[in-house]
Amino acid sequence: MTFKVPVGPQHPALHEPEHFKVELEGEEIVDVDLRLGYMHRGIEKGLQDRNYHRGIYLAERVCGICSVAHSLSFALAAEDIADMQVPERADYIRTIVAELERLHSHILWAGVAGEEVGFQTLFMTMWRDREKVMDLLEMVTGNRVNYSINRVGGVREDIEDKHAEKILKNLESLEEDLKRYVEIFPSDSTVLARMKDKGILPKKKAQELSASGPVMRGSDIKRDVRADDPYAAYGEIPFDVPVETGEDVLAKAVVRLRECLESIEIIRYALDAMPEGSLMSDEVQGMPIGVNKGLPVGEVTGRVEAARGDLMYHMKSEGEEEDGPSRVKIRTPTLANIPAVFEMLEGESMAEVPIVLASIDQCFSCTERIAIVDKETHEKEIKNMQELREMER
Amino acid sequence: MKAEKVQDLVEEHAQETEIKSEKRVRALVDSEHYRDAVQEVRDFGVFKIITMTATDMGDEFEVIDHYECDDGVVLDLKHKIPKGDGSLTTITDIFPGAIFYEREIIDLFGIEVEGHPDPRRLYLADDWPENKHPLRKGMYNYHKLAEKNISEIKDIAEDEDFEPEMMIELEKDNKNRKSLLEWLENKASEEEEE
Repeated sequence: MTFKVPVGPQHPALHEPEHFKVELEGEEIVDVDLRLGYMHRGIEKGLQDRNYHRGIYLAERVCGICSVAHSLSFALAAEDIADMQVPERADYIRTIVAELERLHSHILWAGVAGEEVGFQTLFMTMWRDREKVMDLLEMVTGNRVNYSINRVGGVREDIEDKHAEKILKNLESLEEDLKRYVEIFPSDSTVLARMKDKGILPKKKAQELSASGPVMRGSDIKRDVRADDPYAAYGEIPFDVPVETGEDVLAKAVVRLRECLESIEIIRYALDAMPEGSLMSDEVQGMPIGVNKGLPVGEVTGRVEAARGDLMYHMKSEGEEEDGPSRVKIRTPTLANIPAVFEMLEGESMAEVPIVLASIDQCFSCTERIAIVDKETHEKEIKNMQELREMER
Repeated sequence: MKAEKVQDLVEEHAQETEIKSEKRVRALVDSEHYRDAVQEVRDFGVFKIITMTATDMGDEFEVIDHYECDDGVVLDLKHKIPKGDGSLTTITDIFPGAIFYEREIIDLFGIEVEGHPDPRRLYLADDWPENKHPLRKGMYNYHKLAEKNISEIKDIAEDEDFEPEMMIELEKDNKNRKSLLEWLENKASEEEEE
């Protein structure tokens, strides 16, 4: 006889609103089912009603943690349609901020993983060290989340010499910390007991289920959009794509930490190699942000390697008389990794559910973007701004 | 794998193919050859399916499969499905990773997927009406219409596809255009009587 155990949407171990139905035989998981939809915001639909310069700010808000990846792939797609050349300096700044974002996201994840396996000290120290990156992001862009650094045609803020100095200083101390964590993870007994040989995703299955990002690289598949299909300044920067052969949760953790060390090298190289020049393409130089300007007819696929895996924006423009894109499709890495997590959970025990789920670094606010309020049938639920403010009180 | 090689791979089944750039290949297939093309892609060892994009083109749907081939080359395999009785044939037996992408299309576009192992709702709420699909395009963009002046809106409202209720919702809080709101409400109640 089997039991069904609901996990979520509100659950103390998972910091994301999703609902898993886990079917157990004794302690062993035999089947998993998933219900999505608690984070619908209608962003794909919303992007169709906005022009490009406003759309990028909405795209950025798909996800709070990988907002640079989203705004960057939106910008790349729009620039591709417009056949617009971005200044080299802007490309380098995009690269640096994107890598800073990867650093903070991976360290945040590793901390959460520590918490999931009951290693609270690791969680605390990792989040303490993450602040070094957050300070840098705030210094460079002005914000701790939703950095708004990318615009169609370039970037909004420059990285000056004094910023570069501070970046190098913080990264140096962060590198020391990270090297320590790379040693801790594969050797500490708590981590080993909870992560080693748990949530196995065989290489063949990872490929079959079209997994993405560190989940795939933890199963010995060397794929990275930054290396395979270079964008921004990645084509000019030498870097390595770390892979692990362990196929378990530990391998995914080590891949992420090694990627952090690689990111630090990328940022150092980029700061050194960054050419002088303008920040915005000449075509949009000095244009106000909300300006209405359509793009020529075109259909492109823009790809970026976000912290969680490859992120894709498919954008279609109907011509210059339309202000904005006629269709934007967003494919976030978490959705690609869900079939893989089902595979990883089967055969595990109930106690491993939190860490195995966490190992794909799931982000459901990215995954669920689409919904609108049905005005005809749900009339009672529609509130205007004034009513909402009153409710707030 | 070079873009040219990817092009050769689907050439046989495609109506037209095009190399957009160094890393992007596009192909258009008809519904009959769609699965053959996908099987060919899989047999050759193409790495993975990235996602499927559906678009409402008015009288038909356009579905694009995005495949990641070696060396970061992306193949966009496009095919068209007529609205109404048209349906998509599942490829989950060839690419099991496509299961959620197909469910997303069922949910948001209301396109039927033949042979899908689990055609349940993915994102929308349980009490969402069966026949409403958020990403289908209506005849009119009511937000844009609302920017027009009263006489223009009244002209367009004569069309039978116009839904006065949608416009009323947008105009409800506009104190300056009470006459238009009344006119629309009259029209809505007239239509209801019919």
